[in-house]
Amino acid sequence: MITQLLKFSSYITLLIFIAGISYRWWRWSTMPIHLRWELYPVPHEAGKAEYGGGYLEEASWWSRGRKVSTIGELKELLKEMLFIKRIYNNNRRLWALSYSFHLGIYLILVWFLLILLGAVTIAYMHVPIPSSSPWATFLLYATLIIGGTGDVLGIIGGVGLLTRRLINPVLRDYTTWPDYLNLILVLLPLISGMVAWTYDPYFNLAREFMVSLVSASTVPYLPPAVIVNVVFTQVLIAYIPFTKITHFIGKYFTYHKVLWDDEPNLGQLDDEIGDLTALRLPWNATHIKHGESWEGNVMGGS
Amino acid sequence: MRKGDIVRIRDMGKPSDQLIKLTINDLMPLPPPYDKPGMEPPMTGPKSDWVKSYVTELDGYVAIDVPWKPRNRDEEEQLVKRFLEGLRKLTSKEGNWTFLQPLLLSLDYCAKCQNCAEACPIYMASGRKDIYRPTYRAEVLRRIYNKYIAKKPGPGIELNAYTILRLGELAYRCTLCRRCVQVCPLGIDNGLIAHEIRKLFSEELGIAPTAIHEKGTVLQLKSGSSTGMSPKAFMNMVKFMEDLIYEKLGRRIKIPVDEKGADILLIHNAGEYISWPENPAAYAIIFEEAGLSWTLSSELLGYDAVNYGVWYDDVQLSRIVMRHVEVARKLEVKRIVIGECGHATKALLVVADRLLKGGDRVPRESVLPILRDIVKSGKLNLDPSRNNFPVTLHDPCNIVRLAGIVEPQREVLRAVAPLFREMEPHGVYNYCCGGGSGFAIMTSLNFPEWRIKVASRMKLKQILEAFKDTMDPKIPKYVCAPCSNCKGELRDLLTHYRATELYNIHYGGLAELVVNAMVDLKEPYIDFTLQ
Repeated sequence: MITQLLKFSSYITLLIFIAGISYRWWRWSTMPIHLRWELYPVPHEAGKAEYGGGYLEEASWWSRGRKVSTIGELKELLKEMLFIKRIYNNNRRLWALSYSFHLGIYLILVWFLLILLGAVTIAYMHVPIPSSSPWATFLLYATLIIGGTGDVLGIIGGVGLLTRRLINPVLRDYTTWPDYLNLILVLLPLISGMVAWTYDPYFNLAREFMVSLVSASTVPYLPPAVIVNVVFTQVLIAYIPFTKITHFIGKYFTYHKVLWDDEPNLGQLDDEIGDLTALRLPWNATHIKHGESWEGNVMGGS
Repeated sequence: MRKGDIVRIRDMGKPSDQLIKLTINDLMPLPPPYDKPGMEPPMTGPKSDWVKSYVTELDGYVAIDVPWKPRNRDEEEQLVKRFLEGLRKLTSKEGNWTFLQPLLLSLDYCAKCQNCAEACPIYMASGRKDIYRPTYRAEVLRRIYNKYIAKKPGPGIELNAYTILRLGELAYRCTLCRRCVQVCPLGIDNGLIAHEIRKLFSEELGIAPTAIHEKGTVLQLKSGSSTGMSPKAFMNMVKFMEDLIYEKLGRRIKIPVDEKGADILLIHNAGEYISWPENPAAYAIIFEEAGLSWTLSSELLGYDAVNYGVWYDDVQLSRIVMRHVEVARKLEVKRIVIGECGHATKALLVVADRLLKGGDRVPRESVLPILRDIVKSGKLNLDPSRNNFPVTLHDPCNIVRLAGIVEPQREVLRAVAPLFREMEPHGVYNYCCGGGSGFAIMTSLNFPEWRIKVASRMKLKQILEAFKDTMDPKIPKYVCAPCSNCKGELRDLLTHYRATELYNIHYGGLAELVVNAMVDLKEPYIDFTLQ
C-alpha cells in the first residue's frame, strides 16, 4: 500500500516540478526588456573577450557588423557551471565546499539517469541487471561508483556549507530560515540515501522501483530506510521550484539576459520600446508628472 | 572573518546614534611614502547640529544634503508609508520596466556567500566595515521587499524611520562600479540594488543629493548645463580655447560650432571647459589636423554631455538623453561622439540604447576609438619622446568595465607615452577612482572627507604602487584618466594627500598627451608646474 502510494506520489512530484520550473522560466522570460546594463568581459565578443573589450571599441561600430562568438559564450558558461570559476578565483575555501556540494549533486543527477537507463534496460530490453551483458555490467558499476561518489561529495559539501553558515557570525546574520531549510532539504535525501544504500548496496531496489515507474509492473518491497529516502527525495523535488534552489534558472537570466546582453537596438526593439514608453508613470515626486506616460514625461521635460 | 562584534542587518532599524565611527587607524594602510603616521589629516565627526536635519546615524557622514528627517511621529509614519509605496512601484512593470528584470533577479537569487565583499574597494578601504559590504544594503532591501511586497516567508526586518533614513544614506556609499558583480557566481548585481534604492528615493520621495538633482539634472534641463554655463558663456569658452591653441600651436584654429550637416557632433562634459579646457582644445587640434568634419553645439544641453540621471533617476536620464538626441537631429549630424567622460559615454551609448526608437536612434560612439584611429593613421606628426615621463592609466568604470572600451586608450598610450606602465589591477578589473556615481561632484558637508579617504583610498594605493620606482619628486608623473568625473576625483585626492606638491604626481586626460607629442608644437602642451 505504502509503496503504491510512493509510485503515485512520484508522478505527482514530477508534475509539480515540471510545472513549477516551467512557470519560473515563463515568468523570467516574459518580463519586459530592460535598459542595457551589461558588464564586461562579455564572453561572446569575438576576439575581444580575452581582455574584456566589446564592439564599442570600433569607430562607427554600427557600420562594421557585429561578430558574436557563441563558442566563447559556451566556454565561459561551462567553466562556471562545471568548475564554479568565479568562486575558485576569489575564495578557495568556499570553493572547496561549494564545488564538492555541486559536483555531488551533478553526480547524483547522472546517477538518476543511470538508474533510469537501468530500468529501461530491464523493462524494455529484457536484460537483467546484474547479468553477464557488458551493458548491464557497465550500468551496474557506473551507477555504483557515480552514486556513491556523488552522495559522499554532496554530504561533505552540504554539511560544510551549513556549518560555515552556522559558525561564521556574518554569514549567520545573513542566513534566513528559508536558506537553512533549503540546505537541510537537500541534505536529507543525501544522508538518508547513504543509510538506504546499506540496505540496497547495488541499487537493485532503486532500479526495480524505477522499473515500476516506467512500466506497468508492481512496486517492489522497499525497506523502511529506502522508503524514507524516496519520501525525502520527493519532498525536495516538489519543493525546488518554490525556492532559490532554482538559481540554475536565475543564473541563465542574470548572465545571458542582463550581464552579457549587449545587443544594440538597430530597430528590432522599436515596437517594444514604443509599448513600454506608453506606460503611465505611477511615481509621486514633484519633478515627475504622475499618471503621464514615460514618453509624455520625457518629451515635456521637468 | 572576525569573531567579534558585527553590525547586523537588524541594526539598521536601531533607534541610536551612528552605526559605526571611522578612524584613520581603521582604514586600509597606504603604501610608502604614505605609510608613516601623520601623512594624512585625521577623520572628523559630524557637527552636532546636523543631526536635526541630516542623517548622521549611519557612519556620521552626509551624502544627502537636503533636510529630510521627519520631525514627529506622524512624519515618521508617513515616511515609512511612502517608502513602501515607492518599493511597490519599483518592483512593478509600470514604474520600473527599465530595470525590473535585473532588480528582481538580484533580489531573488543572492546566496549571501559574501564572495563579493573583497572585490569592493570601499569595503576593503574601510578596513572591512560590515555596513559597506555590497550585500548589506541589498539584504536590507531584500528583507523589506520579501516581507511587505512579495509576502514571502522569512525573518523580515523592522521597518521604521531609522531603517529608511540609513538606507537612503547607504545608497550613496557605493560608486556603482559593479566590480562586485564580476566575482558573483550567480550574477547578482548589488551595485544595481544601490542604484534602484536611489531611484526609489528620487522618483517617489523626491530625495537626492543637491549636486546631482537640483544643481545637476534639474539645472541642466533648465539652463543647458549642470555647470550653469549658458550658451553665451560657452561661446566665450570657445574663444578662450582658440586663444589657448594659438598660444601653444603658434597658429589660429577656428573651432566649428553649430555647423549644420557635419559628420560628427562632439559633446564634452561641460566641466572640461571650466576646469580642464586643454582637453577639449586638444580635441579641436587633433580633429582639425586629421581633417574631420565635426562641430560643437551651442544649443542648450548640446554643449554638456553629462547625464547625472544615470546614477539615480530614470526619468531624468531619459529627459536628458532625448534633449541630446534632439540637438543632433536639429544639426543634421551623422553621429554623436562623446568626449572623455565616462558616465556620459555609458548613459548615451549603452543605457539609452533601449530608450531610443525610430529617427531618434542617432548613431552614438565614444571619442576614444576615433582618437586611436587618428593616432594610428599617421596623420599627426608625433614624437613620443616629448612625453618622457612615467604615465599610468586609470580605467573609468563607465567606459571600461561597463562599456567594454578597453584597448583604444592603451593603443594611444603605447604610441605616444614611452614610459607608460599599467596600474594593478587594470582594464575591466581596475578599481573605481572613488568619485563614481556622482561622488566626485558631491562636495557638501563632510561627504568629501569620506569619499577621498575611503572611496578613493584604493585608487591612491594603486597610483603609488604604479609609480613606486619613480617617487623622486624631481620626476613628474602623470595619471591619465580619460573621464571628467575621474579627473575631478583625482584632483581632490592628490590635493588632499599633497601628492602633487610632495611627489610631483599629476593627472590629466588622454588627448593632452597626444597633442603634447606633436612635433610642430611651439610650447609643451602639458604644464607640470603646480597650479
